[in-house]
Amino acid sequence: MLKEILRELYLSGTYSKATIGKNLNISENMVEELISQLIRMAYLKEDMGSPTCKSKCNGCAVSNCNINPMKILTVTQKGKELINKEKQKN
Amino acid sequence: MDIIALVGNPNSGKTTLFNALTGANQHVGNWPGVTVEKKEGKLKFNDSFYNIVDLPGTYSLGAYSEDEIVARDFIIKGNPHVVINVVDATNIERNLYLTTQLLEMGTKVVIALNMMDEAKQKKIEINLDSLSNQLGVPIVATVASKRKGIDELIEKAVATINEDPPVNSISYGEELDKEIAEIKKLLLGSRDEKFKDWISIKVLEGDEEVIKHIQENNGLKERLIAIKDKAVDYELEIVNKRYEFVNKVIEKSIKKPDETLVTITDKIDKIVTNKYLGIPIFAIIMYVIFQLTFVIGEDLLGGIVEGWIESLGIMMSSFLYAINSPDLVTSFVIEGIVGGVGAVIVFIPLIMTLYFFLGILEDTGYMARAAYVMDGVMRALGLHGKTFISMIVGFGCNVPGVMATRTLENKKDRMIALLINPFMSCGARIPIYLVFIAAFFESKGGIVLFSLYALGILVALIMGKIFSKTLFKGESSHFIMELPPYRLPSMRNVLRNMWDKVWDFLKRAGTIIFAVVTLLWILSIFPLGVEPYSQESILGRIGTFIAPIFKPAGFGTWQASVSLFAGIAAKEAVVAVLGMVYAGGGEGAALVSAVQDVFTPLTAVSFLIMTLLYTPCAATIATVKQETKSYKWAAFITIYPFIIGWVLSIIVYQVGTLLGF
Repeated sequence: MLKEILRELYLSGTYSKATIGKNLNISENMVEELISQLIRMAYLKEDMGSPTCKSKCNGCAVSNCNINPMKILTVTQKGKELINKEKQKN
Repeated sequence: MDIIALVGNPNSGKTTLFNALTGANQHVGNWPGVTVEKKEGKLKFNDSFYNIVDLPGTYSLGAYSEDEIVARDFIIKGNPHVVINVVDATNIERNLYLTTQLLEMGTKVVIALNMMDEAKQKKIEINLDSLSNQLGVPIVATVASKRKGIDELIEKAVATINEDPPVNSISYGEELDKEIAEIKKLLLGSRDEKFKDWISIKVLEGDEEVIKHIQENNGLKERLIAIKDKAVDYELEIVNKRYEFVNKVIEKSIKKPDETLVTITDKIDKIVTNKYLGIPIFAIIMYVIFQLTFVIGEDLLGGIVEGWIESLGIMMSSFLYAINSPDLVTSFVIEGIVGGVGAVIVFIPLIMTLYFFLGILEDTGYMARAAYVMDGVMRALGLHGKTFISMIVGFGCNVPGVMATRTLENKKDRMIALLINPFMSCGARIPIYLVFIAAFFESKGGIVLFSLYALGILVALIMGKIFSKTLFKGESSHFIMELPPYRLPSMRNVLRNMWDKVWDFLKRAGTIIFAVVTLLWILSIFPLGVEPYSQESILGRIGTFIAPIFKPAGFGTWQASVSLFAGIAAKEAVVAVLGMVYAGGGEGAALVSAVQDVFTPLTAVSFLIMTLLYTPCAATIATVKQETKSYKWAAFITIYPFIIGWVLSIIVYQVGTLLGF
């Protein structure tokens, strides 16, 4: 399941937990947990889409935190190596 | 005294359960050698006392964090007689991963399936018998916060102390099962025999702590060297098998309500993220927002604040006249404060309306789709898709926009995103646009505003492409973005967000803009004896000195020049200065009328392009310096947008003049 999710994320460039869940026949909570696990194992890295929540601007009129910050992931070198290895196997 | 350990994920209600079990009989210390808190307490049941140990909340029993190591070390070395695994019933998928590791450890476990009331509310149906049979451990449903199920849990935990530990029924696949069996054989007769199952798995997972522990076992060391190349695969496979096991258990024991919204989200996404329709839809949505901003912000609410400021100006003027205040003070209050700061404040209804609609867009989850559809364009231009996210942030303010580029790891991607961010039209520029729109393009307000935002994006993309081909060559890295399900916007969120922005705007008008206005007022009355706000004043002389630069762009007056100069301190200052020097203390309609007298529609367009693109404000320049740690890039971001804005406004004015506009 972990490899499938990693491959799906890498190929699509975008993801919704619902779609991945449907494709892999698992629940959304499970997708979320598997992504968290891939982050813990350093196959993925999570970024804050908008760091405005963390770093307040000191001189601007409209510097508040986003209401709904975007969640962004990057496939790490370790993740890319795994994907390439799987590709070669197939 | 028998020991009962509590283990569970963070936020599973473990500490609430600990409090429910121990009451006031608890004390807090630290685990030896680490700063992790250790909580212990006493429980009396059937005339016997039990020592309850609350282990740190953790998702796993690996060696990734201090909490994980403390928890698993206690289970291995602290010899608890039974472990109560607190599982959040509303998020079983996540919580059972820890349970699988407890099963691997061969420890006696009782599951407290906590927060059952919330699970019921969410219509999650859990078959406790099936769950218990598949995991091979007793399960008690609890609501720790209401002390429900606590007595049964204690009873079950105490009974489990005298029972056999559960058998780990997870299969890790043929190859790994064989490998585990081999390693287990090597551990027979050693000091680690009791935990041979767990150690075998951890060794294959590449757990450094465990590998260090078994260094004296030569046979095992040799075995590890033999399988070294497969270590990474084994780790992933073991974790994967645990999840497969959890998934299988859940499929058989848990029923959740259908998430119909998912289908709606999918259907909407098929259209709004479509390769061909995505960008036009994004453009239409933005256009509609700008139109609504004018209809509601200007037509419905526009006069309210302007009326207040006008009344305030009349009141102040009458008061100052009545008390015979010196001319200088009257000039400062009426022309400086009311004319300058007031000229900025009158636009609050429009700003409120714009951010109300942008807030709705953000809260529904659409902004993630906008970033996604723009990703294709960005990649085609050799830019990183994440660049557009920092650009969206820049629509609010360029300072956090520049900061948002931190998420780009590749230096090339980051520098490009950082250098093009000031072209994003920030909220502070809106009052400038609105003055000129009201003066010349009132019936086409929405389309003009939309065009300015679009022009900012276009120039940013073109400059990004140029930078990626010249200053920062190289491949862009890959990123993945979550598309959250659409949801109805929460009015509370949207209004709070809108108010935060308006409040910041007001604060800024009262501080930075006030300071700039005061300084410019001083410059406008000196040297003493000259007509205030005249060309002979220091302000007039500075403007006159700069003005020739802007002559080819059609707005080479000292007043327009000095307003642009002040705009480098803060963009709103452009309007404040225009209010002071043109309207002489008048704001709103008076300023609009004064602008109509000195600008033409063509010079207005040229001036708007300049204000959109020229040198960013001082706070943005300082942030670029801070982020790049380079004066060179700070100087670059000060100069190059000025040149771009200046050249484009000259082209627009000259071509427009040739065409007879």
